[in-house]
This record gives sequence, structure tokens and C-alpha cells, in this order.
Amino acid sequence: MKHLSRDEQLTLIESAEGGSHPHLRECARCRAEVEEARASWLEARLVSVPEPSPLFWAYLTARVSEQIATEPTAPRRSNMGLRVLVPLAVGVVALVLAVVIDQGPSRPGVVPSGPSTAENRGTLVAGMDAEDPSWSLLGEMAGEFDIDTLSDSIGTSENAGAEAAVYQLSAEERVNLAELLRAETGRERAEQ
Amino acid sequence: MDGAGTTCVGTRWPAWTITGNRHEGMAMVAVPAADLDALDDRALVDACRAGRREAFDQIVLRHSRSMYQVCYRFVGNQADATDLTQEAFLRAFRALDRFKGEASVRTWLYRIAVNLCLNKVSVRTPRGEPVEESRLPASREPDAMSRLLETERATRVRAAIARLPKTQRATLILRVYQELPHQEIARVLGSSVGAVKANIFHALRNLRRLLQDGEP
Repeated sequence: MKHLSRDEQLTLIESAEGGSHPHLRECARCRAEVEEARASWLEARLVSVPEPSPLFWAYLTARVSEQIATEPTAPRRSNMGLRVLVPLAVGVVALVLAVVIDQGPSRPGVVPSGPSTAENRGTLVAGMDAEDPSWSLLGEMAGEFDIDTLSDSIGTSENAGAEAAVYQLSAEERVNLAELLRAETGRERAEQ
Repeated sequence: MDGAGTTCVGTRWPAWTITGNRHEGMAMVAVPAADLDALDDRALVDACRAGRREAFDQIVLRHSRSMYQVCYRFVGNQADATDLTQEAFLRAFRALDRFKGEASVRTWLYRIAVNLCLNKVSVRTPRGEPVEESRLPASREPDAMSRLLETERATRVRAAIARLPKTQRATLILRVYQELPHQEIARVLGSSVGAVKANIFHALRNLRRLLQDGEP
């Protein structure tokens, strides 16, 4: 006997029809599952939220309004700085890591070992250029973005394009980009 | 609900205009302009982005009840639900520039509220409402016992829901209480319709088990 699928069961559980499906008359297993889940559904529905005083909604709206009044400015759609900066920063991170991983083991005097050893991790750190402005920039920018902004920004085709573009920059262009980003970050701070 | 210096201009929810200065100690209430009342949610978002903060008051007026109810379902008491609702609206205001319009404003607000509740609230031990003596049934009332049992049962169901895994809990709340369609729940939670259905199914099964196990 073919049992009801989960979708079919859920349709019955959520509908007022409950156990009226013909299959349930013949199949004890499906009938028991649907009846139990339906009982939970009905029991949960009985629990209501106590209705606050009629004045409560005006009070709540006033609280929110008061809080929003303390916000510096109304958000504007034209705030494109972060939309560009975040994907660029992600791109810079990826680029720098790619360069470091690529160059690290081939440096003179560096003895490569297993990829997961502490020794090798030290090698990678030693291979990094401490003067590279990308690193200081990354340090600064890491504190600038919250996770919501980051997750909102990553993954769009627009951002993927920016990331790909950063990959194609030369070292000199990356330095210029770093300076531009720093200037842009400073401008955003000033605007806030 | 009229008062000195106020004018009721609302339709669905009461909206109020205040003639006094909000900094003069007068009770401050929201002041959405009459023309905003006619705008749909997206137009209100646009108005807000264009610098009309009072447009956001209108959004709050429209959605405060449902947002409060969602938050209440997570925390089980009015004080925390009020705080969470306020915080959710504040986050929404700050994130207005990131609202892309792919989902409805309601869905977007729910998403913010649910994420906030899941992250901030220790729902495994919901505080619940303090039981006021006036709300307890008097022992001489004929249905006193049944009301008491009903209250007890509701408390147990709330506690059982609070013990569900986070996603199952959020899914159940949005489906059973807010009556959102599966598709909209998927948008709120950033998942698929299939995952939403599976979560409802598992949530109901787990709820049954928790209720049968007795005191959570």
C-alpha cells in the first residue's frame, strides 16, 4: 500500500477536513500520524495572545517614533558607498589570500611542509608583506561592517562582478584601490 | 479615544495628530500625516527614504499588532514582546535602504522580527506573564476549574513550543498563529517551501511528544 506523502499529510493536517481522505479509512498508520499531528495543530491554535489595552498600540507606536526621532538621518537609497565597499573588501581579502598562498611556499629559505602543520602556517604568515596596505585596510574595514550588511551584500551578481574585477588588478592598482577605499571610508564616517 | 489636542485620523488603526510640542511633556504619539494613510507599504518606504520620517510611523501603525504578536509568541510576556517589537522596527528603519522590494514590507518586517527573537531571546525558559490575582478565576465561579485548566494547558503548550528547535518554532508560529502561506514563511526564514513543510510536520510531531512527556 502506498502511504500518503508528507505533503499530502500536511494538507490534511492544516485543513478543516482532517481525516476525510479515503486513504485514511484504510491505512491505520497514516491515520494515526495525521490524527496526532492534527491534534497538536488544534491544541497549538487554542493558545491566544492576551489582547493588550486599546491604548497600547498608540503607546507602542509612540515609543518607536520617539526612538526613531533620535536616529541621525532617515536612511536614503543613494547610500551606495557600502554597497561598493563591502564586495571590494571581500575581493581584496580573497585576492590577498590567493597571492599569499600562491607565493608562500616558493619563497627562498622557506621549507614547505604539510599543509596543516603549525610550521606551514608560520610560513604563510612569514610570506605576507607587512607593508601591503591591503592588510591594514582589511583590519580597518573588518570593524566597519556588521554581519547583516555583509550577508546582504555578498552573493548578488552585482557584487560578484566587483569581486571578479578586483582579482584582475595589478599590485599597483590594488594599492591605488586601497587608497581609494580608505578615502571613501573616511568620507562615509564624516557624513555620519 | 479622543484627548485634548488630538485628532483621530486613522482608519484601520487609530492614527493621531498632536498639536502640542512633543518636547513639552505632552504624551507623545505617532503623527502620520493624513496623506500617508492612503499610500501602500512600498510607497511609504519610498516616502521614508525621501526623508519623510512620519511615513515610518504609518508603517508601524499598520504592522505593530502582527509584529507584537509574533514577538509575544517567542517570549510569552508583554514587556519583552514590546521591547522586541520596538527593536525590530528600529532595525527596520535603519535598514530601509537595504529593502529591495523583492518581498512585501510585511514579509521583510517579519524576517527582521523573527531573526531578532531567535537571536536575542532565551526562549527555552520563557518568562511568561506574571499572574495577577484579579486574573485568576474566583473559586466560586461555576467554570473556575475549567478556566484554570485551560490556563494551565496554554502555559504547557507555550513551554513546549519554546522547547522546539529554533527553525521549527519560528515556522510553527508563522504558520499556526500568523497564518502565513508556506511560500511567505519560506521568504521570511530564507528557506524553501519544502523545508517549511518539513519543519511544520516535525514541529507538530515534536510538540505532541513534548506535551505527552508532561512538564517540560
